[in-house]
Amino acid sequence: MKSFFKENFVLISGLALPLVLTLVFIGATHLKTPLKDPPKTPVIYAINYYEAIYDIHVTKDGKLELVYTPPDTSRGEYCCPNPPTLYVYTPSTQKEDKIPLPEFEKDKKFKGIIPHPNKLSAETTSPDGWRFEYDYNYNEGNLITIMFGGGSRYGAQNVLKKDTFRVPVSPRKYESGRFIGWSLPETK
Amino acid sequence: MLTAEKKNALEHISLLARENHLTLDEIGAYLTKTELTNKNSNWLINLMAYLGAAFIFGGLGLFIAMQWDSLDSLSRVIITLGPGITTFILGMICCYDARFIRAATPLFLKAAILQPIGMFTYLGEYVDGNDQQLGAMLVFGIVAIQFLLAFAIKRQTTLLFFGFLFWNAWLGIFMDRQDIAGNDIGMSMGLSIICFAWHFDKTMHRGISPFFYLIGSIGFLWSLFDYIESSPFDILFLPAAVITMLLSTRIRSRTLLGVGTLSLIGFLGYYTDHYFKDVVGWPIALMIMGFFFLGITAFAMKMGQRIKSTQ
Repeated sequence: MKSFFKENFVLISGLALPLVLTLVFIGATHLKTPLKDPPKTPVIYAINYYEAIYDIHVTKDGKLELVYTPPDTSRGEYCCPNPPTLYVYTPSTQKEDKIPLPEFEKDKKFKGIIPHPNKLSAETTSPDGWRFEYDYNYNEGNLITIMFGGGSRYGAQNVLKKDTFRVPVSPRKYESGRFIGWSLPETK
Repeated sequence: MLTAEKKNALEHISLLARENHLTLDEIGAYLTKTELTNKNSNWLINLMAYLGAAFIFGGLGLFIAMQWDSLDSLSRVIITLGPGITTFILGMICCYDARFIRAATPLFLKAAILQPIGMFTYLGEYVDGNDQQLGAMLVFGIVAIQFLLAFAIKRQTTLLFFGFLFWNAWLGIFMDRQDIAGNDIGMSMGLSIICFAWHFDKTMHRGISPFFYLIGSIGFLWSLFDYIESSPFDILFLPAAVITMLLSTRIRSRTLLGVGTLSLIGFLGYYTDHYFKDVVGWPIALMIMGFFFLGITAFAMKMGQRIKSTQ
């Protein structure tokens, strides 16, 4: 056995190197070291957001408001874009819940409050220092990845970011999220 | 596998080569020359055989392409995977008969092309889902195991070549699925491929080493450069290129020497552009350093000859 390893040391090392690296990566991604200062403030964001038609924003008194303007098809605006999907991500439970939009008529202008229990803040940074971002990365690839690994790679996900830490907000990728606001904790 | 007689003959040849200062190139050239002066008609038979095989498989490929839309799923799988499996089995049979052993290589080549195509066709026709990477991993994994197991039995170089190629295809996709950065994949797999080529360069399968030296060294150096380009550590590429050239002199690989030299020249161009743009003294300094290295080489050769003559 010893002589087998001695004779084939270079081959065994060469074959083992990428496998060991992969195991280290798998271990590192699954060993979740708890963050010292994890995000606490729930974040509200929208997917498939089309601001010209569906304007969702936080008012001065901290409420969530929807302003719907019917598209002007005479000026070439797209007739019927789907309404955006509104989500609230709660870091403490790591759950994402949909916020239903109010019912309204599609051919008339609408302005109304979207019910939400807490007061909201439109600040880009939460009270605990996190920011909502659509984290996009693109890797051109190299000879090895072009020949053996699928070439260039593109990844995108909605995350909460603080310094070098990032926390994924939803399991779905490639859905550009539009930040709306932070759901502030109730003050007693 | 080498018989005892062959091993003895090789030892004898190696001793003669060392005593008479014959290089591998000179031996290879002489063998090729004697082959060319052989005026029997074997070459015509070989040519006809290769042409016949090429026409058959060319015709099959064109037929498949023309009829593809009118074929149902089962026919598509049979017409792609079927010939792939058949040629592989024929290749293995040829390995057991010394008369047909030379036919094994083109048969395995065709199997290596047709089998993955057939398996991808099967996945496309019968399996739901849109995870193409997983499908590719399955296909390359199975073919890699198949070719490498066959190599373990018959020790055919072609089987090793394709087995390792498919293994790398599987490994690259597997590493990519673990979200490992492309440059890390490139560097680790590049080194792995160089190690593989180094090991088999010392065996009867050395014919495939130059190809893998080329892929491995370019892959490693390309990824390393991407990693450290425009960073304070970009100078580290210089020792990497030099080590590649050093390795090439140790293992006598012209492929590695070519890649190392071109990498070094390319890096000097990048470094000059980055840090010494419009500084005329820099290229002059490089040329002086180059003459200095050549001077050291001449001195080292003289010393080596003096040492040899005193022994």
